[in-house]
Amino acid sequence: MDWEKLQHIDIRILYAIILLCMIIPMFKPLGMPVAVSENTQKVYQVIEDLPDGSVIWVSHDTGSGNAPELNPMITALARQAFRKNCKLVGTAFFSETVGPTLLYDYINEVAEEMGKEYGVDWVNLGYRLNAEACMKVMVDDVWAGVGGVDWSGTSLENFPLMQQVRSIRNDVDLIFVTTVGTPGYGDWMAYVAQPLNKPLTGGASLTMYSGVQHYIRSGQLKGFLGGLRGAAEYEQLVEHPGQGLAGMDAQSMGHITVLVFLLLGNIGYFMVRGKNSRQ
Amino acid sequence: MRRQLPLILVAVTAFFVMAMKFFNFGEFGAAAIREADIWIQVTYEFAFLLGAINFTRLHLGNVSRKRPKWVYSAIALVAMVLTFIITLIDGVNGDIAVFLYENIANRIDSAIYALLGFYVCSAAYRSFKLKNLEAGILLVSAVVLMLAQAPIGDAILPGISKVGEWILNVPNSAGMRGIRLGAGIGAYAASIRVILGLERSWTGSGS
Repeated sequence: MDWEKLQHIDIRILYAIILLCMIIPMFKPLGMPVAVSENTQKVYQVIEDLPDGSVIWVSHDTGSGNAPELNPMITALARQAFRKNCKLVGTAFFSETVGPTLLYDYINEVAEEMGKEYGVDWVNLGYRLNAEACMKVMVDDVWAGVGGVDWSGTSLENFPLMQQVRSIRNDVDLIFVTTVGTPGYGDWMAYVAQPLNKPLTGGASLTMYSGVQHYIRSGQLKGFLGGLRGAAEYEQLVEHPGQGLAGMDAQSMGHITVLVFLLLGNIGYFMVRGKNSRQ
Repeated sequence: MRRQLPLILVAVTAFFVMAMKFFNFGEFGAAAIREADIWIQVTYEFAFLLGAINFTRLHLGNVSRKRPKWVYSAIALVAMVLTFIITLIDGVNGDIAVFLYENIANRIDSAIYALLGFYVCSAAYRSFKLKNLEAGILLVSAVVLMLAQAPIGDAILPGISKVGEWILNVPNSAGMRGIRLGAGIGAYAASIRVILGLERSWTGSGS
C-alpha cells in the first residue's frame, strides 16, 4: 500500500466530506443528548433567581461571523425572561447593522410567540458608536446615552417600558452580554456591573473562554455560555430545542470528520517513517 | 515641527488623561474625563475618514498602474463609492442601504468566517503530526477538546466532557495567564515608549 497517499489526500475530497457531514445532520438530526455544564447551569440559575418582572439588559455585541452560535443564546434568554415576565432592554455595540437587526429578529420571534409587546415588554436600543463612552453615560441616563431614540429612530417617549428604565443604576437588575471580543466583559464589568454591583452573565465563542474564565472564578461573571455547545445546553435548560441543539449534531459530525482525517494523516506519517527507517 | 508636534500632542494628552484618572481632581476631573470621551468619539470619526482616503489612494494607484489583480481594486473602489452614494441618498437606515448590508456585506462576512472551518480541518490534517512529545501533548489536547465540545464525544467516551472542562480550566488557564501577563507588560512598555517619544514609527518617520 502506498502510505504516502494517505498523507496527501486531495483537499477537495476532504472539503466535500466535511460539507456533507455537516449538512446531512441538519436535515436528519441524530438527536444526541447534551450534558449541561456547570457554567451554563449558573447562567440559567442567575436569571431564574431574579424576581418576576425584573429588567434584564441584553447586549448582543456580535458580527455576522459569530452570530450563528450566539443567536440561539438570545432566543433562549428571551424565552426564559418572558416566561418570568421579565422585561428586556437591548443594545448591540459590535456591529452597526448585524447586532441590532439580529437582536430584534430573535427576540421578536419569541415575543410574538409568547404574546409580548414591543415597547411594553422589550425594547431594542440598537447600536451606538464608542461603546465605552455610551455605557458610562447610560449608567445614570439611558435616554441620554442613546440620544432618546430606539434602534429605528423612534422616540423613547413612545415606549412605556422606557418610562420605567431611566438609568442602569436604578432600573436594571441583570446584564446579559453576548460578545465577540470588544466591547467585551471587561468593559461591561469596569463601567457597569462592578461599580453598580449588578450581576453580569452571558456567552461568547468558546475560543474566548480562556480570556474570561478568571472572571467566572472570581464570581464577577455569573456563568458562561461557551459557543454553540453552551447555547444548546441553555436551550435544553429552558426546555425548548432550537438552532443550538440542531447545530450540535452538525458539530458532532464535523469534529468526528476532523478526527478521522487526523488519524489517517498520522497513520500515513508513521507508516512512511517506519518504511524509511527500515530502508 | 511636523514630526515633533504629534509627539508633543501624544505626550501631553497621555499625561493629562493619566493625571485625571489616577488622581482625584473632583468635579473638574470628572468633567475632563467626560470631555475626553467625546473627543475620543470625534477622533474615531476622523480615523474612519483617514481610512477611506488611504483605501482610495491605494486602490486608485493599483488601478491606474494596472498592477497585478488590479480588477479587484477596481471592484473594491466601485463598491465603496456606490455604498457611500446610496447611504448618502437613502440614509443609514434606508431600505436599500440596509438591504446592501444584510444581503451582501453580512453574507460575505458569514461566508468568509465559515470557510475557516474548512481551512482548520485541512490544516489539522496536513500538519498535526505526532512528531515529538510537544506535538503529542497538543494533539491529545485537541482530540479531547474536540470530542468534549460535541455530544458525540460523550456518546463514544462517557465523561470526556469533564476531561475537556479540566483542560480548559487548568492547563489552558495557566498558559493563558502567562500570555496575558506577557502581553500586558509588553503593552505597558510599548505605551511608555510612545508617550516618551522613543517609539516613533507610528509618525511615519520610520524610526
